[in-house]
Amino acid sequence: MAIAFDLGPDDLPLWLAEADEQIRVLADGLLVLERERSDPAILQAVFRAAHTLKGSAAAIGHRRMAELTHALESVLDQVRQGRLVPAGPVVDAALAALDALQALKDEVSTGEPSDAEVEPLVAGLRAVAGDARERQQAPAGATTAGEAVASVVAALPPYRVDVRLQPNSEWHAVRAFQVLTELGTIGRVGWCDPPLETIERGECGPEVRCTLETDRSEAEVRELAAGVPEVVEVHVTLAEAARAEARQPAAAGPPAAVDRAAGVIQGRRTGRRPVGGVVRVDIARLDALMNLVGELVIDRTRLQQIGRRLAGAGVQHEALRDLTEMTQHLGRVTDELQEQVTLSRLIPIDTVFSRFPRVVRDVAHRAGRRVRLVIEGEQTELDRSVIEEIGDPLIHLLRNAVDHGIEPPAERLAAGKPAEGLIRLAAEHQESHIIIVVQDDGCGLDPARLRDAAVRKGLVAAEAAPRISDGEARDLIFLPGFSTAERVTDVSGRGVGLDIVRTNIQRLSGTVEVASEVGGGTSFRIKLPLTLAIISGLLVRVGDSTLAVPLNVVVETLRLRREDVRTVTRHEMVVARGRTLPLVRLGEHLGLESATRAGDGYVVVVRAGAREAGLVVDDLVGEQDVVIKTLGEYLGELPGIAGATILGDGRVSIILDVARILEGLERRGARRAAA
Amino acid sequence: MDEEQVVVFDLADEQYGVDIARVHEIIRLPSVTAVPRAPRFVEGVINLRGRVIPVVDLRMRLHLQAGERGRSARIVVVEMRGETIGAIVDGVTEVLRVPAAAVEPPSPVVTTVETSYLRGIAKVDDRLIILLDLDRALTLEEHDQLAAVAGATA
Repeated sequence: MAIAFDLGPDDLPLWLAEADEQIRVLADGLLVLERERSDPAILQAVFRAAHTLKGSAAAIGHRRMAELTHALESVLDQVRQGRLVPAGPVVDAALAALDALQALKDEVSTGEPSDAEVEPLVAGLRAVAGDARERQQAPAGATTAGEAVASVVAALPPYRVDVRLQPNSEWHAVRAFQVLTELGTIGRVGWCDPPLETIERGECGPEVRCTLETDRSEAEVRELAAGVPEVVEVHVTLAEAARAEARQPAAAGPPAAVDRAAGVIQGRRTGRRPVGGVVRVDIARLDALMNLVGELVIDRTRLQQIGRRLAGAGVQHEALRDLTEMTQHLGRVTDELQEQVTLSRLIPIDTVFSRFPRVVRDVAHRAGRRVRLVIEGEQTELDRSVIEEIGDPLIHLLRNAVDHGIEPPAERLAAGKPAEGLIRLAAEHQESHIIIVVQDDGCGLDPARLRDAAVRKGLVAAEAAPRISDGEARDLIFLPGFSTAERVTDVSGRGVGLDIVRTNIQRLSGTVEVASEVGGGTSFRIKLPLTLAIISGLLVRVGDSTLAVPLNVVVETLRLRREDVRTVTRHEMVVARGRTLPLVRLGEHLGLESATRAGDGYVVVVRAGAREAGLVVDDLVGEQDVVIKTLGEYLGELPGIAGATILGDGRVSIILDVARILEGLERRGARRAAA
Repeated sequence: MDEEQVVVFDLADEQYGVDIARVHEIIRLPSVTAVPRAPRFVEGVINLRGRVIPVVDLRMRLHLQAGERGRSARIVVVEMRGETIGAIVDGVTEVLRVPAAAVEPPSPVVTTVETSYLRGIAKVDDRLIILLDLDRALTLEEHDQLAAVAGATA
């Protein structure tokens, strides 16, 4: 049965975006509160988010959602007034409610009822809130914190705030109300025009003026008001003259704590919506723009080639010099353009990071660990295409850190560490790459245990184990089928997946490395390109075909001499720098004509995950940045093929998916071994 | 009067027609890059003004006899389910107006091509134009089924 809400299709995206935002503020805030207990700024932000969400739900007639949010708001109110401690059952009840709110919110977009059960959750929240009310009924006398704050605020100089809203918006009254509510959180709104009652009736133009008594700076007031959607201009001035007018009591909104600057959550939110100068652009349009830039890059290369050909043919003309100059200029412009377009597609990694505190909390609870997650550099930006893919590998690493890294509290105390483990998730830019670090202060990886485990699981021969260096031993965790977990847990399953993590990251043209110290913790360092649209490739020739091998998997290149090739159980191998590498004759493997059977060629040594192999090619052409294009839905996904690119001469070149080719090799080998 | 316009092309000594509304453009054969592991009738991919599009060898696709590819060979670029695809034909002859009354249902007697790929046979003057159903003729479903069978037995 479909359900309908009082909301037009045009308003839906806006409603959803705002509901998402409030739910996010609640989720982030609750977790911070659980740890910090009493952060007034965050308490305020969380309470306000619940309040706003309740209003949004009620406005579209989502009764169940409004009811649940109301119950949540009541609990948060108790917390705000210091009658409830945000820990244990309180946070559990609130988070459970939040999960249901997420589902209820989704009902609005899907039109399908969810299985969220509101009544038990409301009862749970009421029980928690009711406890507090009963306990707190008796003591009185002292003025509440709220009253104390109010008296301080009253003595503060008023600002005059002038806000201009987007003229063609149909939500003037709503926005005006939001502005006043926001301002109410940092001080007291005095006089306002139009008056609050008028705004509440829905009568409001694109301009709102009011006075505000607060201890915050002008800039903070401006930022807060500008954070409301559809606000196009904010003027804040010290208004001594406005004092008289301000005597007339009008809009309310609870006075807030004075002891802190804008809270973490609030600051982040307003930070992402700077005043003016921001346009929303459909991502498809940016994709199209990126494609066009790619074409321009190709044309530039062709122009360069034409110039070189003319020069090579002995042409001596003024026009040729002009052409060369123009081509150079065009080169600079296209480079700049490419960079700008790439930058315009970037979004903060916060969009994935924001769901991790909850994940870590839940995993830690289940595993009986105490863990604090510290997130750094969440505003680091990278391409949407990378952001979409990086979430799962990171969740995997975080779960691993909690379950296999951080020790149980008693063990930690015995080892002289604090009972609470620390996981650090940090992102930062390094040139055209982003570095993501997942670090824990847990037990670390013990090379001796890793060697034993690898032997026990048959991944390494017993006699070879002592020769494995500590660094190589730590790398063993990326082998398929490797897990040091002694028992199966429901947290990180069978400990599988680090091989998958590495494969997935390599598919994004990235790398992952591990560093660890026994007893001191483990750190994973992921390096990713900012965008997936352009990669560095090694161009190789096989017969008539020019193929591109992503440079991030290339270890080295070697000349292939026939006498170096050994055949071991029908597999061709080559010995390079003391290692024995299986060879893949690319021509044969891909069904392309190739000359290497007859003569000597080159070996491109590639590594994907723990697998290493040598790709045999006829010739090395060179390195080049290439623009990745998909082969399209018609051809679909072809094993071993990552996509295509257009070379400087206009021909299409196929980009190889090396991880996939090596995977296929292993399966083939396994079948042969089984036969 | 009910009629349609079709682009007429040659393929293995027969004449075929496709609805002109589906044809984007007709281009000469550029250099085609082979795509490893693609179905056999996919000749490869080409660069069409910065876009990479697949090109199908229509003779092979329709199980017709392979033949020399002459100077008149062309790629008919068509739109199929939102994607641009090229079909290699022996040569493009003309654009023809075909009255609806001249179209008969496909019959295995008249043509060597699998009738499920056809929309009908048009008789214009003394000529027979085989009207192709592009969606069926170019679709990869059959290939997918073959691949599934091959995968299961490998």
